[in-house]
Amino acid sequence: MDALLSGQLLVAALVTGALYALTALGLNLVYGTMRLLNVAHGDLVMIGAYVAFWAFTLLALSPLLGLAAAAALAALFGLALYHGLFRRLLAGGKAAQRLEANSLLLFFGVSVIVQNLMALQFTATPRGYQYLDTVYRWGNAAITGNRVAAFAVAVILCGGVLAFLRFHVTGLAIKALIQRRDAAAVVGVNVERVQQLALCLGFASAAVAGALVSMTEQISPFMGFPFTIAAFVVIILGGLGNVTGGIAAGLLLGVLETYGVALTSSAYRSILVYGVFVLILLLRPQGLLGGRRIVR
Amino acid sequence: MSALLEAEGVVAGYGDIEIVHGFGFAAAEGEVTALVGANGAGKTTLMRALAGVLPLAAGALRFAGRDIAAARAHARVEAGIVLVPEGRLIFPHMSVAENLRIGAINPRARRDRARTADEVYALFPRLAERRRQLGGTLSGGEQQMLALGRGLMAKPRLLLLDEPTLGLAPIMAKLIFSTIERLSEGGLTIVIAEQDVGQTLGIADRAYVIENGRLALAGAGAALLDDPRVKAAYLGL
Repeated sequence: MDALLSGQLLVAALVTGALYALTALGLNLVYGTMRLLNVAHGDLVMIGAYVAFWAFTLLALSPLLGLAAAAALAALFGLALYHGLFRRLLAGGKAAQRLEANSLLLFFGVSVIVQNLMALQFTATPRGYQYLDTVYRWGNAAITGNRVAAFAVAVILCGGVLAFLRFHVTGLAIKALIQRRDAAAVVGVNVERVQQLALCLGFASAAVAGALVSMTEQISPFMGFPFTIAAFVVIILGGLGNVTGGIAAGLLLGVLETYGVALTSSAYRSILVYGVFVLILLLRPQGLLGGRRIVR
Repeated sequence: MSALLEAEGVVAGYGDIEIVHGFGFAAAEGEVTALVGANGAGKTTLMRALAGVLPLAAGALRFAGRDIAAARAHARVEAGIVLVPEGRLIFPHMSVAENLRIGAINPRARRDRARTADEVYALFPRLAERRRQLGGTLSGGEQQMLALGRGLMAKPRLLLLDEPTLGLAPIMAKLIFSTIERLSEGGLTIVIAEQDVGQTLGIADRAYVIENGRLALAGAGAALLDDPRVKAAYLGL
């Protein structure tokens, strides 16, 4: 019982939660603006982790700088996918009606290809590096510097994106597209350009989360899937397309997972996450925070 | 009196279903042009095709002498064609002020955003009172004011009004109609599609009757009010 009340668990929960929030934010933007079900989202986390890893081991570049490279690379990847795969699908016509189902299959293919290319290139062996691993203590809680850094960066970026969505007119256009796609075009939003931006932003935030994860955990080509699942749980928990709700839900899932594992054992991690997923779908499919839909 | 918007042989619909089968009309600069017709005649489809939300399957569209048939919706807004859509389509989770702000997203309107917003608030004081309220929590009439205000924020040269009084209480419908008249007196070119045929023809300089996606009748608004066919079919006289 003492362990549950210690600051240690709370700190761990917050770090995990902030990373989930950042990852899910990207998925929410992509789903919200385009209705694309990106089941390769976790693989972008993995790509970001590898970029940060190689930047650190080959170029001695701090992961806090490497994450910018990871973001840029993921955004470019998003643009390439947009122009190569999704532009025609989104343009309308018959294919657009099956967009969600088709995007699920396409992204599943992307996921398999990316994972195996990475495994082929860099082997499936888990890798890791030491960065900012000094341990800091507050009372009875101990935390490594890299976790503090990961938490801080994730919180700053989530806050930055929220502020962008709230105060910048392009951010408003993203929200407009999420809330009412048909009306966004009517008021003069350049839908195609805003979709590209949301895709880049969404991919980049997952890659940044990956770069942050690589500071604290070992990475492998197959590390992405749990992040995909966590991100889906989070955006459903927060209400699909509800960006603020998703960030709160990310923190909540971090807390549920960390405390749940502490109460049981780490073998139950997946059961806990999937359990939350199933419970939410059964009890509140509109999401914990998605209940106040007032539309006349 | 020159035509600001000219449509010729417009064909539009949804997928394989063609709804407007070659419709032509012109909206003269500074006038109110009415499109009248029964439910399902194709008024909304035509309006959406004019705004570029629906692609043209065939036909020509000229705005201020420029061919805009292939221009996408946002490019038409920037050119000055602004639709206030049927059903209002307010952004429900954005405040009144944010709804207005996004109305001015086109670069031409963005610069004057603050001044245009003041004009809109002066036109609809109710919106000024509810500036911080979410769009989805407004009453139907207030949402219509917001939709109209959002359209005006784009600094239109041609305002397309699709069923602006649908589902509104009579007093609210009256307010919307008087606002439209005020906007027209201010020199704005307006195309209006409305179910309230009597009221609409009353304020229209010119009107086109659309039946089954085709032009059935055209004439001055007042003349059509006296037309026996219009009286029988739309005014129940």
